[in-house]
Amino acid sequence: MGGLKLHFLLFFLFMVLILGCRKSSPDEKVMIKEVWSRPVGMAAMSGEADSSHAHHMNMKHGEQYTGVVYMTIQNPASTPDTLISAESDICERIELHQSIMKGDQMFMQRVEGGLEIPPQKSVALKPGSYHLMMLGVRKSLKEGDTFPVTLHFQKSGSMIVESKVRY
Amino acid sequence: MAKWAFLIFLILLVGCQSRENFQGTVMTDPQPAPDFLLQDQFGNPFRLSDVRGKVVLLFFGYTWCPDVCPATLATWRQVWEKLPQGKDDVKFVYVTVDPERDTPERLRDHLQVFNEKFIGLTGSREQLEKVYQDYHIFVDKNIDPQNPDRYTVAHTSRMFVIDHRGILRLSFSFGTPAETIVHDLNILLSEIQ
Repeated sequence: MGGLKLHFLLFFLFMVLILGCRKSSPDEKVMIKEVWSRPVGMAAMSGEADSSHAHHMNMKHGEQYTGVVYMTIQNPASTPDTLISAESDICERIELHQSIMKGDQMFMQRVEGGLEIPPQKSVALKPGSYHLMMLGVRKSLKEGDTFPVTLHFQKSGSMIVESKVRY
Repeated sequence: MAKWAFLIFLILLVGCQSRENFQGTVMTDPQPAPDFLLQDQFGNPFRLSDVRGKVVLLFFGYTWCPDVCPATLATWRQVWEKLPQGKDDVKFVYVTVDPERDTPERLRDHLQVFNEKFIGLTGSREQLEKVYQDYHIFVDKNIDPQNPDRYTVAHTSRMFVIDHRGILRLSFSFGTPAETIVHDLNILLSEIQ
């Protein structure tokens, strides 16, 4: 009887350790959820010729079309991870930005050094907050379209996610 | 007799309250909305007073903005869809805070994906500065010295509502849900009849 109790106790401790390790393993990768973008209108949508890559390369930065990518990043690991950079074939570059409201005044600033995702926490890239800004978008984006975005994390490495265009 | 007078007073009081039951920020001393003449996304002149008789939603933004400005346009799109009647009695007016980049063509490209009926306005820097001043709109260009074309523009993100008589009545902070805006627009639309 005493042996059974000991076995039970050992099994219980083993399960606690397993579950504990599973919950806070430093090796677990970040999880990306709800990736979406807003539509981007271009001259092509009003019947004119689509803007070619070459054309965009010749444009001044300020004349380029911009877009956005939002998502939720969940970090199940016991150590922080950092979103370092992102890229996509549909635009020239992607930068991490943050909108900051001071009263009714909206400021947008580039986030230097990446975005840290604390252990066992989620960080939302959402309207009026953190977001990925696409610069030099090469094609119009309509509701329902999807396109791949590559995210580079310090620990989780690179991962490709699909962004869905919606309002 | 006194009882009847009290009852009538109560009914009037309740009636007035329900008419003014706005959810947005109400102007405490409503004044006529300052008039302006600008250029729309099709190159046509647009004078605010020409849409007298309509309720006007007014927002100041720029097409290069990836976040807050398109988020507001997406809310407007929802507002448009939720307006049960009188869609044509509401004008959605978007005034640029970035006239150097926001040409009529650029405004047209940007607005058409949200709703072709939204009105995008631009003009000369001088014309627009007067409008910003009249509506107390904060506009501040933040130029990156290494990439002077890639500037951002900090700006007031609140939207304004002008009633059918041309009076500036309400405003909404950024992030106000479409339902709240529709609720208040319906009150203002009911004043037209």
